[in-house]
Amino acid sequence: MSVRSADSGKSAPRLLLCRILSSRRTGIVLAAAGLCLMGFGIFRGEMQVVFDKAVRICMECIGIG
Amino acid sequence: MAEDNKKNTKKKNKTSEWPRHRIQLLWAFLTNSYLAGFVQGKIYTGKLKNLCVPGLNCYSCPGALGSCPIGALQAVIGSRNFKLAFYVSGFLIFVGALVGRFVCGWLCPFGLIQDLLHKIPFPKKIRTFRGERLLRKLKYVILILFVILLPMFLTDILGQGSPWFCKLICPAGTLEGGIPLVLFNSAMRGAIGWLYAWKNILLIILILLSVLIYRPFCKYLCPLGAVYSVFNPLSVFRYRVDKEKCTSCGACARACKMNCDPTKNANDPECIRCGLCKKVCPTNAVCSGWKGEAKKTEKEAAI
Repeated sequence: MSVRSADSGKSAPRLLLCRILSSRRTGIVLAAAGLCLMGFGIFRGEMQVVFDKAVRICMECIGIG
Repeated sequence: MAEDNKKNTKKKNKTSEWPRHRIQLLWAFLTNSYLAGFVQGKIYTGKLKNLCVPGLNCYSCPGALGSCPIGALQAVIGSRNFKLAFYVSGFLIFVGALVGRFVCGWLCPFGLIQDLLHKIPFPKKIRTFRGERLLRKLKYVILILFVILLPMFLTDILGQGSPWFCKLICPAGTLEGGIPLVLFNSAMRGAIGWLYAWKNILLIILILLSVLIYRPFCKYLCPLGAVYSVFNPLSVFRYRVDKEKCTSCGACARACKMNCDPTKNANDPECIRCGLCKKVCPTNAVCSGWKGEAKKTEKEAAI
């Protein structure tokens, strides 16, 4: 069987890295990690900080403060 | 002759960006639908403000229903109690890992404004210039310096940092929040000063630049685009070029307004996934997808 790869000419570690990066699983794992971080942030009470900032007019954002 | 005209119209319809703009408009309306805010010169204060929206959308916009992730990130980093923002960074990782810069192309209200501004006819539009590639790195500097480091370390005696990006740079805040609130709220009008003038000058420069250059804010300044760009090559939703079908005609690279070449890197960090390359490809070699397409890529890489 003839072997044809777009990655031919790349070193083995780089090839492995390319495979990992191009894998759909990497995205899924990262998305899951993002969800976990969100959950941890909410657990720590960060959402309240976001809410408190967002419900008051942010003077800095609008160029007054 | 009539057949040529018909063909041209068909081609124009095929490459029209209005279907994408309609989705951008719909999303911008959905996330900024607190219309009473515009009338009263006030902002929405309901529970939805707990949640971030994926695009750059100032939470001080009178119509905004959600929080801007960049503003929220600075708020948490600059707060007395928290220096690490797990909630917002987790949100950005989640969205970035799913769709990457698709958000920039389809769900960012400020991106839509720049898209529409670029449609204004001008004799000479600037596609690229000397040092343009280097200038694109500026957004990463802005992300690290103005969004993370300054709010974290430049604090007042209470240990609170300011949202420096919002304060000194963000034109979305001026356009979506500053101008409407100053227009509709008399108390705000009395408080404007040099900072308001500075931010309005920046906004005017950016509006003028947007007519000449496609999305200058997204290309050179946007810290949110910088975050999502890191995830473009890793995201679940991705682009792919079928090497068998590709004739290397270069139509996709010529059409790309972000100056990407899909045949070299289909998931370039600068790609906002507007889909124009897919539309102009004469052999339908460029495609995008979630699992089917990605699976195919993996198989192809293995063969």
